[in-house]
Amino acid sequence: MKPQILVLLLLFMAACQAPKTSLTPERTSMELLAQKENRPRRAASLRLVEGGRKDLTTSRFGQAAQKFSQAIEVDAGNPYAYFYLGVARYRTGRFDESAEIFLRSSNLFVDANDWRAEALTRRGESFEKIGRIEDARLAYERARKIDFGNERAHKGWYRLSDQM
Amino acid sequence: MGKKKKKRKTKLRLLFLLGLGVLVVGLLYAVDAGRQVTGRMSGKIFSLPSRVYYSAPVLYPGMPFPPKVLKSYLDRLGYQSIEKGAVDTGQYRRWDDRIMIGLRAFHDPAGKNPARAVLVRYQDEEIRDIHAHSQGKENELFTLHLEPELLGEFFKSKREERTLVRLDDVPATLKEAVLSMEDHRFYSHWGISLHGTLRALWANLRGGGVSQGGSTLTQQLMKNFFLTHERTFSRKIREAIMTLVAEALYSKDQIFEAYLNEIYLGQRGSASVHGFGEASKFYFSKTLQETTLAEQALLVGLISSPGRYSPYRNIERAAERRNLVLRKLWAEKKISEAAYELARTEVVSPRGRVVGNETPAYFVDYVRRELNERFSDSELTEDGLEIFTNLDSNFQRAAESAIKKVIPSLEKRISKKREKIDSDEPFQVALVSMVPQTGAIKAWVGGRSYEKSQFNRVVQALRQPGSVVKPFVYAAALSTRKKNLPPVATASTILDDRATTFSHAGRDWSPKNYNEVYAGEVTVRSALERSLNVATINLASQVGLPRLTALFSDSGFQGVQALPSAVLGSIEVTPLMLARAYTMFANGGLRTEPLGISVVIDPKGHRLEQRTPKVKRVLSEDVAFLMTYLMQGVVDRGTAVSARKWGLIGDLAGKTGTTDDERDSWFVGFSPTLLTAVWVGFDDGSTVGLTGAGGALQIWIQYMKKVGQFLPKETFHPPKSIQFYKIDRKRGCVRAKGEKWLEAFLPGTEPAKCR
Repeated sequence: MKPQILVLLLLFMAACQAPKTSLTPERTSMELLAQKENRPRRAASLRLVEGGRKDLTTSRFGQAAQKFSQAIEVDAGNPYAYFYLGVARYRTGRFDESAEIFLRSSNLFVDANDWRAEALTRRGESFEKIGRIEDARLAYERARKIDFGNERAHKGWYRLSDQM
Repeated sequence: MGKKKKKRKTKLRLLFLLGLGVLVVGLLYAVDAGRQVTGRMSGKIFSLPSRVYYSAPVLYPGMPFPPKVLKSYLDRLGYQSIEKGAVDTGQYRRWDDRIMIGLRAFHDPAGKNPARAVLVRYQDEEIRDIHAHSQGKENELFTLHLEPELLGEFFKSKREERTLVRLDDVPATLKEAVLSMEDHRFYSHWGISLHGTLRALWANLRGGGVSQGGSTLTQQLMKNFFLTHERTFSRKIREAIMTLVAEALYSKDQIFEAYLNEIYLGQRGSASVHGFGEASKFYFSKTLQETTLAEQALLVGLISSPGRYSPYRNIERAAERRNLVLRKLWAEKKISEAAYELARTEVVSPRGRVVGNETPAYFVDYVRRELNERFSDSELTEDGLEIFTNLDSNFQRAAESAIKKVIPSLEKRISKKREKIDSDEPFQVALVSMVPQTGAIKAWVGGRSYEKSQFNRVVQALRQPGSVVKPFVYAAALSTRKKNLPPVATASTILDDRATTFSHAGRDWSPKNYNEVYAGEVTVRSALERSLNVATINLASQVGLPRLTALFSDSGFQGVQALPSAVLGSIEVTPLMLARAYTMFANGGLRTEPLGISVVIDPKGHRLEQRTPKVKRVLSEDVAFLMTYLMQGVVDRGTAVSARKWGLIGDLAGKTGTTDDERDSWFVGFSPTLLTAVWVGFDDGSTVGLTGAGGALQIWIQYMKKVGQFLPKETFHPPKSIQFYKIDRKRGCVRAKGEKWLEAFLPGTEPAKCR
């Protein structure tokens, strides 16, 4: 086998071995999603989420949570609103609640496997914080199955599998 | 000679002692007055009532918010409707398919919102688009926060409304006008104007009494702060001493600012309007900075007699008085001739007066009770807090009007059964409506009349719920048990519904179905849809009392005893407890805490309290959906089918409840985004003679018909794991042909095929 082909093959295998997620919820603009959205209610709700995301970056968690709630009231099926509400809950240490809200968000992400897996990963992280290790491991496992590219889910799963 | 000298000396000594005495008394009097003045003028000068607000709507393109609803919302806020021309701040104009609004500046929990003109265009009953207009430019808006509507106030003993303004923020022309009309030597005298006093004294002497006042601004302020309006010389002396003390201790600007905030300028119902900050809102729907010269002159003209010169009472008289103020300003060269002419010809147009706004007093009581856990009464009545709630004025009005509409027909039906009823009091009603996902309380009716009874039934009436607790029994039966054991039942499990005697703890119990009609063998679905008691008890006995009481407790019902009668609703709950418990069905198994209050802000804009949704997992999402799906059957075919007959459309679920001897009539119903609990009964527990369907359900139907226009067209989405099978409705088995029904199951729990 030619060395160049071998190198390419090795590189390809390495890429397959090291999963990487392109999803970065902290940097995803809801405004951009709103602009692409053709359902007016969802678009308005996403814009309210965007307002709350800005509050999250300045650690105004209460204000953020209020905007996410408002976004849910406008569109109760908006998975992003639940996702970021989960983030707000997680960052204020309300892990039992964030675990449940991330699950709700995950179930609403019907057509976005990367987000669905991310929400489950965050659910796993919430469970870990309150010592529900088996529930956390199951959440990471589900996330891995849905989106193999989710690095955090892999890390979490390996971390907990080692412990068990 | 010596005697005379001695007498004279004694006289002098007496005079000296008398003088000394007067001086000491005067000094003591001044010290006391000083203490009073400093006590009032230092620190918090005014008691500001706290204001409670409804939640304000957020408009967005595509939103169902009919133009007539927006128009009536603006009317309630006191916006003035105009027929033509450009809209000014505080006005709106509707033509064709659009409404142009001159939005006032306001702040809400989201922050500060500037005054601006916005154009809302409609397509039928939905908002098509929203544009902000500024300096000839148009800017598309994707969300628009409207000003929140005032819901109520927490007053101290005096009902005074006041919006504080700082002297620097008061328009210069208004300050000039006040000084010109009331006390043009204010910045040069030392509190008492000799010239003014002599003029008043002369007039009073000629009139033979005290008819004219020569008071300076400081004297007026002292009189308003500490003294009565009685015109006596002794009151005048005390006023003079206090005035001198105030002038010695405080700067002119401090006194002027206090005066501008204190002066009485009108009456809003039973509350008095004090200060120019509040008066500009009351008369013109504007902040003081937004008022025109003519409007400022009108406000200043009110000082001498707010009732007489009120534009609400007599526009011509108000205009004459305003023009007198303007003329004085012009004569003293405080304004130019052009400004004078322009202001003089301005049409007096006070805003539409907000009257007849009924306060949802039961809800305000609830808010106060909630706030009292953290704030004292004095903080709530004196610190000018702004309390933003989740109550929605459109939903609240819909609830009140639904109840008013249904009451006559209920009264008729109750009077027909009068021989069974032993209460002299009118029957009562309670309704609470909330968003199941967030807990936001949208409507709250605690009784028929707050004036007659302050008993807040939504939170205080502990009543037996009857069959409205049955869904909790079914939820326990449909849930997977510990150690991955399959559920006790599915929606198609066959239950026995025949008259039976049950034994518990050595005692026999023979529950009956409504009207003593028994179905024989029924599916779980049919038993719930028809609210069959015996079938439900049979199901409960399979679940077991410990599991049931655990679920009741997780659902938020307190003090539930492990008795078989509990499954038929022999426990005690309030409407709010029931609404909270039902959120777990409508919110994917999460129980949501009710949220009346959203944010509490102090006058400096600091957030003192912030409440956000609180949830707790009680059921799995799958089981919550199964239950919702079962309860949709109650509305589509079961005991609540009259909702469909009345024309309610869309995905709806719920459960009726009637207690023994028809003492309580209940209904808890929900759409994907709104959950409502309704109760009808007598406070003393007498028979009301109504079933859940005949009483509470009728109110819910009317309420939902009214709020339907605001609710998004949502459906109950099944989670991915739920599987649907075609079922024989009577036998509960999977059927491929003939009459069938699509039933929902947890994976692996579907029944066998029909033979």
